[in-house]
Amino acid sequence: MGRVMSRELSIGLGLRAQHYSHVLDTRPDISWFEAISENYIGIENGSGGRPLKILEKIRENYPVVLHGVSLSIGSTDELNFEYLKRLSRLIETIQPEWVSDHVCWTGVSGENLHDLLPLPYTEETLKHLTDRILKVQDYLKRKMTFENVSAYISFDHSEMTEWDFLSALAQRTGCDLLLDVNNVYVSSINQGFEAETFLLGLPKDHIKQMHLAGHSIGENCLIDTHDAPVCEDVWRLYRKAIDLFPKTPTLIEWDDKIPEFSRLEEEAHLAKQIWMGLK
Amino acid sequence: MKKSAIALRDLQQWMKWVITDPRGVDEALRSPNPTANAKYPERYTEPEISACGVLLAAGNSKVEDRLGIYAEGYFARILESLEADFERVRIILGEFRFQKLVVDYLKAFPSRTINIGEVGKYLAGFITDYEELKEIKFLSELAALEWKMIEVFYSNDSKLFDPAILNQIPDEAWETLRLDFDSSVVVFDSIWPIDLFWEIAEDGNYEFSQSSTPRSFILWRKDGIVHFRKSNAIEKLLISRFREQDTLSNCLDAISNSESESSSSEDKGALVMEFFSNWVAEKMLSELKIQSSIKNIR
Repeated sequence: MGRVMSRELSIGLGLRAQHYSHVLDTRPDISWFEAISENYIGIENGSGGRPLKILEKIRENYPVVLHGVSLSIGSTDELNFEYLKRLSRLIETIQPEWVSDHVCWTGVSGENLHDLLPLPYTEETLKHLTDRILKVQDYLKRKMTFENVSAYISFDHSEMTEWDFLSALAQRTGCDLLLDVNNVYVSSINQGFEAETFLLGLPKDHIKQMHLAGHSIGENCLIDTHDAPVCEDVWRLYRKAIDLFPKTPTLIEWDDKIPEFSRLEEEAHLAKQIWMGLK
Repeated sequence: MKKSAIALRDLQQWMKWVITDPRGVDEALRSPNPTANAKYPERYTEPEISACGVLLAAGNSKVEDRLGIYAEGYFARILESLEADFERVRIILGEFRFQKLVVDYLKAFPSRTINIGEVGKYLAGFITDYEELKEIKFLSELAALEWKMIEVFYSNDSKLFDPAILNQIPDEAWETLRLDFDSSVVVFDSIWPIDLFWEIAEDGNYEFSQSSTPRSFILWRKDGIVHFRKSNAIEKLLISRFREQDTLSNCLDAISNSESESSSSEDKGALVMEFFSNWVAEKMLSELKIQSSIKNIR
């Protein structure tokens, strides 16, 4: 399979099924795409089906990053090697620029809640994640990238801030970080911390990618719904993030109430202006 | 920061319980050890070690409201996935009854899969024993068919053979011909007219009658899309024999020995060739082998 060579990645878009035909037929001028790994690993004993075939075609023309939601790196269950096997097969097929997942847990006792659940920031958690990330990186033979999640609760027994936790995790495992700017904003409102302080506390050398997305306003909190444009406050925070971590590849996520591709391109255009320091 | 020791595993088990309790967060916290729910008590019972005291919600928010966001998200996400995978079942049941089905299904079969798209794996079997929907006799079969379509969609890839190579088969080698089907090809038997399931109106109106003997249907994936059509006993037998690596000659013998309307061997041969042509056109075949050259032809 021929693949486009890596180049400087600027603003990418999350690849969604609604836009497959448009991307294949018109080859829009987008720097790169991020694909949700689970949409292409198929079902148990199966293949990735048609979605994987489409992703392979898109990969011929664009750099692709794989972004997972099921690694459950923070779970106290055993690591799921069936998942890692399927992910490894997908990596082999797609040859992504990098592979990411979340600093969270998604299930326990064998059950999967299919959500990105928050962790307490304790030394116990840090040791637990360090051990598991090292195992995953060893199994996949590559450095992983981990994203900060939105959280609606925090934990009284946390011993450090989220940014200190992420920094320590990156330092101990060598993993990279995916800075979700919207998640920082949502959590800062929900938990009452300064979003900028979060950014200032991150290790510059480990910021591999950023995410931008929209959220919705719930009762007394913000909800990370990815169903709206990026709001002005998040754009403002992104400008600060780009000042701190210039030229970091950035992705626009839009997962629900997905608009026409052209609307995503508008968001990407605005992000590009900021990314280039023009706005 | 204040330290209240709770092990990470205890915290996760408690959060799993409160987020997935079918009664919702408020009721779960109000009544963490109910005795009335005899079935699936583990879904309603708080783990021994509570994490309630270590959770924080900033500002004016209450912890239970914040946990409610996770609980709503848990159910909504799985419901959305099952609605997409069991579109016909949902139309028949309507929104409310489908939601009730999903709530009860998750009590018995909480997700244990990596991929949310696999949560519906056991739904057909669950419906078979589900008293509340017993009156819709074909419902479990419809659910089984919809799940089968997902399995066909994600079946492993096989290399399709090039029809042009048929011209390379010497006349004397046809008898020794062996076929392999694409791994997506599945025969589905039903006493219900499953081809009519797709004609159910959006309001859920339907009228089906079962037949005394099962009818066969074939599902397969062509160009990434799942197709299905009616089949019959002879085609089913042929697919089964070819999959057991029988030769064309043996397959012809097999259908001669089976009950069928056509009688002469010429008729049977013509019938097999008709099936064969269809399989080629429908891209169901992956490999042809002939004995004389001991080679595979694709």
